[in-house]
Amino acid sequence: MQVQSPPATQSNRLQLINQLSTPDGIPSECSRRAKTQIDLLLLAIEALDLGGAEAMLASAKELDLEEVIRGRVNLWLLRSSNPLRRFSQRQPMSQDEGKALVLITCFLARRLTVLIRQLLLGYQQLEDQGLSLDHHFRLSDYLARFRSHFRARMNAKRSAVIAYSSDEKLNELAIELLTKLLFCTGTNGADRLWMSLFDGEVS
Amino acid sequence: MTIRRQYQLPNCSLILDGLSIDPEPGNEEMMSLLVNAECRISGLERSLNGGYNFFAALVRAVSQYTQEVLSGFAHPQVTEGEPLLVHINPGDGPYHHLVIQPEIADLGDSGDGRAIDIKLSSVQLFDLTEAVDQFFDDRSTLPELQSELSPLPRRFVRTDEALSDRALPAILGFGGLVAATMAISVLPLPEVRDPSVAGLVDGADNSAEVQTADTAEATPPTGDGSEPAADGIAAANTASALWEEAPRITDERTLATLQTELQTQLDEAVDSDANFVDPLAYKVAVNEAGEVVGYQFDNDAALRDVDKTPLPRLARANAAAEGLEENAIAEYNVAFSADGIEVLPETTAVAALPEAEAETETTVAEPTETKPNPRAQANSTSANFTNEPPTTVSSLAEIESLNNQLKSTIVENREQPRVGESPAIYRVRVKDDGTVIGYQPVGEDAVEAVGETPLPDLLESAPEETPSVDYRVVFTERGVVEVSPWWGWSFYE
Repeated sequence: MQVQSPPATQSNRLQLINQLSTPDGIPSECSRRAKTQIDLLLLAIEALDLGGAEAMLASAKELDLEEVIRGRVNLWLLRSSNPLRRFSQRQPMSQDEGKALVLITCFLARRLTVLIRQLLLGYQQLEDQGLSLDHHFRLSDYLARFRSHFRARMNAKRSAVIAYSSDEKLNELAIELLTKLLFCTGTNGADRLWMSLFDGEVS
Repeated sequence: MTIRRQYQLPNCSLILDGLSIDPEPGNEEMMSLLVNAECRISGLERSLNGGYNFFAALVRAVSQYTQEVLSGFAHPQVTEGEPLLVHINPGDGPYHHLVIQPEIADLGDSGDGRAIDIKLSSVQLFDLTEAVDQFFDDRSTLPELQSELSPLPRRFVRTDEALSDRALPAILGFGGLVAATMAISVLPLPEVRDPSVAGLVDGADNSAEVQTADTAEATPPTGDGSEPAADGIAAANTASALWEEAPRITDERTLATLQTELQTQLDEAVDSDANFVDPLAYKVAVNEAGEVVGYQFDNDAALRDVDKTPLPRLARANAAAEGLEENAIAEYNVAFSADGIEVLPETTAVAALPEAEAETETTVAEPTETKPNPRAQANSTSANFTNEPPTTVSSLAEIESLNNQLKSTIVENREQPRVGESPAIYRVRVKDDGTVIGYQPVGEDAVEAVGETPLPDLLESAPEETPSVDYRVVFTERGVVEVSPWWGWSFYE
């Protein structure tokens, strides 16, 4: 008898996802805040790495997550579940999909570790000397790209987006996301990020 | 056996010295007893040293604070009930503050009894977190210390909400209340009518006739009890000083003008949706200025449905006037019916006048002659409009000159050109000297627009047999006045 898809294969494929723990009491779908956080972190990765969007698809393949992230459109739909998006899709994000995106985020962040550390050190030095962020070429490049990505894709009519109407506010957000990405590069980065998405969601 | 574990990162290293107390073979490498923990942070002159309590508090604080950085919600850094020995607070810009109480860490000779505050940059903090995470991953060192990652319960998130955020809904609500209060205070106070006034009017000594208007309103419109009370009022009105003592206006021109004015007033004041099923008959007293100063009921329906008519409203406007009975009044019979409002001179009143005024009787009585078209009568003057062509034929030149005269009279006397949605057409009767002695609106638009034309002001009364010519006067919707003979130019040629 020919067995086309041995059951063992599937469990192997989703091995990484299953490594992320599922704490008691968390909702079966990712919250609005979780969807927003994941999308913004991926946006920051795109601002760091010009080929970030392609790298996300490539890393989904590399991490054997294709079963959950089924191609470009599926990835776009998942990211568009961010309620701040201009063309926000009101669709749920399952736990597995959330975990897959968290894994991709951490995977890409780890590849960008050196750059992230450089930028944060540069930011720290500029702050110490009281200089504007334009003095660090690579950092101001990242900030400008993040701002343009954010403004192009987020719905400027939403109050949560209006809060980031100024360049300064958007720069703060970009630095905050950069810091979060740094913590994603760690040994337990994926676990920590995944858990942080449910802060305040459990009773 | 002494064991040393080192977790080294660029900005931070953790060095643990301990012992293995598990005698079983294979577990010799397991560090189960911590002797000293050393934490070296780049840029810091001395290292932090401490025992198991220090190290356990440090890894917990670091692990919890890292979650705070990721989610933005403050995590509790000690288990409840324990002293806060190691704590990390967010700082300005890229910095965080690691605060360590002196009793827990060995600070050497430099310790002055105060908590030490170490400023950590984000990268330094991350290296510390990474060292701690590597320690957590290393199951052969102090396995009882685990990261214990878990989402923050909801109750912690609520209390961390900024005060401004929590206060905002309350402030908005209160602000809305204040705004509404201010808006309402601008509105005028509603008039409160005291129902007890009704009782006073029944007395025979009420001097002001106009009070009957209020009385009639104050009388409950429903219930059988209102009927006898209303009869009482009607009786009082008939005997009131106004009707008994006030002198009557006898000049026929004034009477005709007042009649037209009253007609216009009532037409304008009556509710457009008022529906008079039963004909209502009133006697209405008008002073020389054309104001309604009093009225009496001529039938039961008039008493019942008085609120449907504009009379109480018009009469109340003059309620405050004094000496009403001393001023001359003109009496009219007013009938409200499904067809409209009809104003007729009060003939009986004139007949009852003293002999000195009797000579005017015949002229006053003139408009009450039988009319072929009561509707036309209701909306026009006392002039008798018929569909019969005039028997007296004037010359074409005369017609033409009167035509021009009428047009210029109207144009000169109008306040402003009338602009409406549709033209207003009138049949206007003119005496041979150019005086307007009657007019009749043609169509509903003309009835409504009569106040916008100078016709009521131009009107003068004249005997029935006065030689006259009828003209068609059109006030177009663009403010142009067009005048032409009613029977056409060809009639006179």
